Parts: sequence; C-alpha cells; structure tokens
Amino acid sequence: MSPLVAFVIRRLLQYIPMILVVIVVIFILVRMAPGDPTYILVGEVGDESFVQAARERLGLNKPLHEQFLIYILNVFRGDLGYSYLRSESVSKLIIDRIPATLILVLTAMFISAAVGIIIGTISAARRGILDISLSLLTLFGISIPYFWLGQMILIVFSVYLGLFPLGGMISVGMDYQGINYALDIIYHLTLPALTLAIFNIAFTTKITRGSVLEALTQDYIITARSKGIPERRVIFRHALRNALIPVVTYTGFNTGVLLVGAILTETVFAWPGMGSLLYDSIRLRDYPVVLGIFIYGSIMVIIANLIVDILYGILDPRIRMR
Amino acid sequence: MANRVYPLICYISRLTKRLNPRLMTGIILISFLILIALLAPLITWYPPLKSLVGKPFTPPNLQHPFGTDDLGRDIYTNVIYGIRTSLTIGVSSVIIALLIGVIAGVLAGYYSGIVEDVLMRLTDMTLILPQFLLALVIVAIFGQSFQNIILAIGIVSWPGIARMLRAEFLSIKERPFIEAARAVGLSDMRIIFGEILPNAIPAVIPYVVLQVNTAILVEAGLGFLGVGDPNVPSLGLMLNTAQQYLTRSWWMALFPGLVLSFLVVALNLLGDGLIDYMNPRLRKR
Amino acid sequence: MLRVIDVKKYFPVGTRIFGKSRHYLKAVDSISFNAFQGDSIGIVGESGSGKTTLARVILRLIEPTSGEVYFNNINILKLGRREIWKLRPKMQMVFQDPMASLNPRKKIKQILSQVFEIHTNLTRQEILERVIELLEKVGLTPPELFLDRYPHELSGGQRQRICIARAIALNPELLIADEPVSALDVSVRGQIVNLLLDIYEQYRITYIVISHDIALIKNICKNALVMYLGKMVERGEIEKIINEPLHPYTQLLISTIPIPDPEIARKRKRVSVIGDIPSLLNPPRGCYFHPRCPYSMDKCRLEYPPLVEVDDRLVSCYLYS
Repeated sequence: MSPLVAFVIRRLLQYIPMILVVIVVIFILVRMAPGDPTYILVGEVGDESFVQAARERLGLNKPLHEQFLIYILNVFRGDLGYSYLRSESVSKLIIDRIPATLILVLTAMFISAAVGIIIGTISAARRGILDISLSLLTLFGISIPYFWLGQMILIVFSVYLGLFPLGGMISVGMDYQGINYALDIIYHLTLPALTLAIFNIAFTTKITRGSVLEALTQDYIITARSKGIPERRVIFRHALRNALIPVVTYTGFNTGVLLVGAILTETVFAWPGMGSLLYDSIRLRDYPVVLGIFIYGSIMVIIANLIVDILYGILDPRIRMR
Repeated sequence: MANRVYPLICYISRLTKRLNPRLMTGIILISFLILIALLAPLITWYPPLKSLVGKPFTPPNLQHPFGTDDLGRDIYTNVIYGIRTSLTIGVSSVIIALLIGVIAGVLAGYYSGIVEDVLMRLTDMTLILPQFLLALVIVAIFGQSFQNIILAIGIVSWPGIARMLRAEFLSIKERPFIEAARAVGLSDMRIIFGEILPNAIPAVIPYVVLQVNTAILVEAGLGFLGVGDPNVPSLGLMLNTAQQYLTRSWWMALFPGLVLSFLVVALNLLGDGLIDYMNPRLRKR
Repeated sequence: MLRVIDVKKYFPVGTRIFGKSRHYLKAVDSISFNAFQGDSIGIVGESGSGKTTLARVILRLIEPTSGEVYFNNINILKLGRREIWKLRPKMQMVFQDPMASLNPRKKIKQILSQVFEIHTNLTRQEILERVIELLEKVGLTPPELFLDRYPHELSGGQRQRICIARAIALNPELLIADEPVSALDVSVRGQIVNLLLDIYEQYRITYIVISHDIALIKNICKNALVMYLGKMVERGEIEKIINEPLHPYTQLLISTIPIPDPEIARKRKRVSVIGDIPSLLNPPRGCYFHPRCPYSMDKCRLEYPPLVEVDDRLVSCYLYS
C-alpha cells in the first residue's frame, strides 16, 4: 500500500468517529432535555394521535440502548426524521437547501482568500500609515457582527439606493433561462456574498499579515535582499510563497466559522439555503429540522476538514509521516 | 494629601508607558462600557422591555434618542440594558468554560497516557464541530432562558481553553523548577496549582478575553436567529425584531448593532493588546 | 549511606505503534558504587554521558529500567509514593541552572518556606525564622533584603545560593549537586565551590557532585567515578585518578586540565584523541571508546571490557587485564 493511500485511510479513520460523536451528542441532549423527547423529535404538532404514532415508530417506549440503536441506524440510513409541520422528510428539506448555501460559502471563500491575501501582504510590506489604517480596517472587519453588517448593507443598497434586490435567490415570476438565469442568481448573490466575504477578508488579512511579517524576518529573505532582488519580488515571490501555507490551512479549517456565517447572512437576505431553513424552523419550533441542520452542518465541516487535511498531506510530504 | 497623590500619578504614568496603544484604548473603552452597564438605571428614563412607552416605529427624537420599535419600546433604554446582558453572558459563560477547560487542560497537560489521549481526542472533536450550532441546539431544546444560554455557550467554548492550557502545561512541565519542586517533595496538586498554573496563566489571559468576545457574539447570533430569552433585553434579539422591519425603520437595526460592534471592537483591542503586552518579542516588530 | 547496584536506565526510541520499540537509548548502563556517610563522590563525564540521568534515578525523580538503590539500607526504588515523600528531605539536589530551577513567579521567601510547610509542623513565624537562618547560612546577608525578591532580581551566584539553601533546608544526609557552577560566571564559581565545601564540612553529609570538569571535582571530592556513554570506565580516589589516570578516556579528561606552570605542562603526557563522542543511539561495538582510543586493540572492537581492580581502583579497559 502506498504511503499516500495509507495516509488517507488513517485520516478517514480519524474523522469517521467524529460523526459518531455528533450523533451521540444529539442523542444525549434530546434525552436530557426537559419534557417528552417525542416533541423534540417530531416538532410541536398539536395532534396527539400523530405524536403517539411517532413515539411507536421511533421506539421511544423501548429501553434507552434500543432507542440509541434505532437512532444510529436511522441516521446512517440518512433518515433524520420527518417534519410533520412541513410534511416532508428532514433529509430532503436540508439536502434541497445545501446547493444554495454552498454557492454562497464558496463565492465568499474565493473572494476573501484573493482579497485578503493581497491586502495582508501589502499591509505587511508597507509599514507606516497604510499599514496602520489597514490594521484598523481589519479590526473593524473582524469585530462588526456580519449579520448586522448585512442588514446595514441591505438598507443602504437595496432599500434606499434600490441597486440590488431585497432578498431571495431568483426574481420571482421572471422565469429566466440559460445565461439570464445565471446572471439573475449572481445579481441576487452579490450582497450576501459580499457581506460574508468582508468578515472573512478581515480574518484572512490578519493571518496573511502576521505570516508574511514572520517570513520577512527569516534568513532567506535577508539573503534574497542582499542578492539585490527587487523588494516587490522579494515580498511576493519569496516571503508570500512561504507565508501562504498557514493562510491556506486557515482558510480550509475555517469552514465551520464560514458555514455559521452563511447561516446568519442567509437569514438577512432571505437566501434560500440552510440558514433560512434554520431560521424558519426555529420560529415554527420544528425541532427535527433544527437537529438535522446541526448534524448536516457538522458533517459538512468534518468533510471540509478532511479534504484540507488530505490536500495538505499531498502538498507537504512531511505531514504524511505523522 | 499631596504626598499620597504624587506616587499614584507616578505609578499610573509608568504603567501607561509600558502599555501599548491598543491595550490602552481597549482598557478605556471597556471601562467606559462597564460603567454604562452599571449605571444603566441612572442614564435611562424608561423601564426596559416595557411596551408602548412611545408610539411604535417612532424615528429617533429627543425623548427616544434611538427611536422606538414595533411594540413602542424605547430602543435607547434597551440598548443600554443590552450591554449589561451581553457583558453578563460573556463573562459568566467564559467562567463556566474556564471551569471545564482548566480541569480538562490541566489533567491532559500534567498526566500523560490514557487520560491525556481520551481528553485530547474529545477536545479535538468538539473543537471541529460548529460550536455555534451546538449552542443553538442546546438552547432550542432545553428552553430559551438566560441561564440556559449562559450554560450552552459555556459548554461549547471550553475546548479552546483546554487546548491552550494543555500546551502551556506541556512546556512548563519540562522546565527544571518543576523537577526541583518534585525533588523537594511537593505533591502533584501543589505542583499543578502552585507551580505550573501561575506560570501558564499569562499566556491564557488574552485568549480568555477574546473568548468573552466570542461568547458575546454567539449570544447575539443566537438572539438574531430568535433563540434568546424574551424576558431579558438583548442586542441580538433586537436585531432579530429589526430584521422584519428593515424596509421601514432603519433605526431599529442601526443602534443595537452599532453598540454591539463597539463592544466587540473594545474587547478585540483589549485581547490583541494583551497578547502584545504578554509577548514583548512581537511588540518590537 | 548510599549503595547503587547495577542501575540501568534505557529510554525507548522511535515511534512505537504496537508493543515495545526495538531501539533503546542506554543513558545509564550498569552503574554501581557505594558512598558512606561523609563520603564525597564526583561523577565526571562529557555531556550526554548519563550523569544527570543517574542522579535523577538515585533521587527517584525518574524510574530506572532496573537496578537497586539503597539509602540507609532501604531500597528506595521499591518505596511507595508516601514513603518516598517522607525520605525527600533527607536526599536533596542542587540543579544545573539556578534561574530555571526557581519558580519565576514566587518570592524567595515563598520558595524557601514551602519546604518547611510541607515537611514540618512549624508555625508561620518559626518558618520565617528558619528561612532567615538559612539565608545567612548560604551567605545572603542581610537576609531581609532577599526575602521579598523574585529570582530574576538576583544575580546568578545569589540564585545558586538560594538553590543550595533550599536543598539543605531540612538537613539532608545526601546532597547531589548537578553541575553546580557551570551556569555561573567564572568570577563567582569559586565562591559557590567554597560554600559547597563549607556545607560539606559542617554537616558531614554524603556528597555527589556531577561535572564535566574534573578539576572542579578535584577541589570538592575525595572519590571520583568517570562515565562514558552511560558506562562507568573508572572509579577510585580522585588523587590517584588525577596523578595516574588508568583508562585512556580518563587520561584524555586529565589532559584537558590547564596547568599553570609551563615547565610541568611540557612534561605532561599528551594524549592524542581522534573524533567526537559517538551517538548514544548507536554506540560502537566492543568498547565504546575504541574508535577514539590511541591504544585500541583488536579485542577492543569485539567485546566490552569488564571492570577489573587495579591499584585500589576499578577500570574497564583491556590494557589492564
């Protein structure tokens, strides 16, 4: 077996138990919660016969270990329960929303990586007033809660200037086809993606700046400078290249934060992804969907971490040995 | 009198010279916010959360500097009390996180072997999960009360503290004065709490401040999604209400968010400043 | 009285996935010696020769792989936590780097009173008196000046005096000094050596001094034990070892002592040694010293030489068997 395959298998074996942990955590929480767990697993539907039927089906009158077994088997079959409020299976509800969330997250991730790395490098290379003002901007970027920032952007650009739509993903009733359909989505995507990106740009900038500053103190930079290589080339070719590794890692491992960011941003712009679904489910007390989103969200984060981990092992052979 | 005041002034001026500007600004801003939170009843003139103290949807004016919301509640009053809530939740939940994190971090850092393996595995796993969602689930199914919010945020934020403390413990444990302490015959407890922990704390303090910050943001985010205690003034919940009326009353969103941002900026400055202060090597750069 | 019998400390090396690892670093390999009450023994060797590991085993700061250590006829390697704790005040150690071996966040007062707090039932006031007494004993006068200081506020020599004070606080019967002066400025080394000698004469305790510097050992100790790569190569009275070193490695060490009189220096037998100290991970076959030894014979490459008694001394070299 090649070392790379062995490495990937080792990583897989590390990450799979995490999914199990998520399920165990949910199971424990639901049983610990005050009141009848049936209401959490079914949602607050008024009909008592409904609840009774669900109790039978989920085995809630059986001993705990049997309940656990039933629960685990259900989850691994992809059955996270049924939303009686929406008359739809929880999995289908969530999976339908995943593409929208992914579009938002990936767009924001791409914008923020590109912009953040450039700003961070400039900030590190040019000390003085530019660096200070950029650092200040970064501070605000990190601090301002993005869902509020989204609200402000929406008020200014959509409500008052009328430049962008008030929300949603496509213009209702227009029925665009082909390229127009894509353009319409981009038009709706602009503000939410921007909101989510601003928050992440600040983080990426901060990390890049620190990382480039660290790299600039290394001996090979002094060597490069003493060879007479132009400063711009020293920074972008020598320092940045070595500073990029922590930045890339950070971007990858930060998926969890970005996912939560997307959930909150979607709520502001009524972007029809997992976030909007979560928001509505909380309001309707549709608990099975809330639990389902936690499970799917966790699995997405775990998969993202796994991908970064494996990519990292491919890029840097030293990691594989560990 | 004068000879008492003079040394004090000297002391303060010496202190300020050692502090970096970020830390100074952070301390001043945070002190200001804490003062406001403490003086809330004195600087507001309506009871918090009370409906119809004014006409609903009144734009900012002299009686209602920040306007009123859909139920005619005074936004200014609720924002001021909201600072109180945010700080209380931030600090209390971090205290809970510290209690769990210190125990886990100390055990994993001091005792190697199975204890360490199990604890660190658990910590790593919890660290990867979306903590915000976990807190949300806990509050949603256990009930939206003030205590539950604090508990939930505390429970999800211990792994970071544990991890950091463990790293500190691992490095301090190897320093010769620990061996010297063992040679003298100090017990494990005395070595952990008397020798190692005091040396580990400086590195952890800035992180704890930033953790308070995260806790405040998590609370605001939960409130924004509607998972908050409706009986307590909360900046996040106010933004949740504002979301439904964004097109007609901008002030409902503007002011709570502005104050929340101010709070977070102050804590970030304090935390970053503390990191620089505790780590002088970086300061020179 | 201290008896060390065949002590071994092997550290496992490399990643261990299943079961035992195949490689061991033999930091201390079959060391035996006796020290009677009032004896003073110097352990000499280059860095990495296992001196400090041996000291740690003797005080049971780490667990040895095998062997026995008798302290007053009790095998301390068999004692439980509680019993070893009771013995701690009787066996103490002064560490190499005084700055690193003092807790930077504690005042001198706290560092010293801690010893009394855990091992005696004295009152606060009595403890303070003892601490002051101790500071005077190690030459830190006036003691009041040092009580509220932190370690970083003292000089290197003063810090080492604090470490010595901590070690002798409860009148130990065995004191191990691990490179007691090598972290200090040359100018204060003499003072610390004198302090160590004063304490030795005052208390008649059993002394073990560890150093890479055989000249220092000559000043403090009556007997010496020379270690090379975890093994004992020579043991005996220091006078004899200095005047007539038997083992080629000891000869090498002696030749490094500077001699003030050039006339005598010129007459000294020169030892030419090649190469560096080999890695402990992969020691050479046979005698560990043979790759560097000027007298190396065929036999030396095959098997490790046993210890033989020559002129009241033990030496492990085929030149004498």
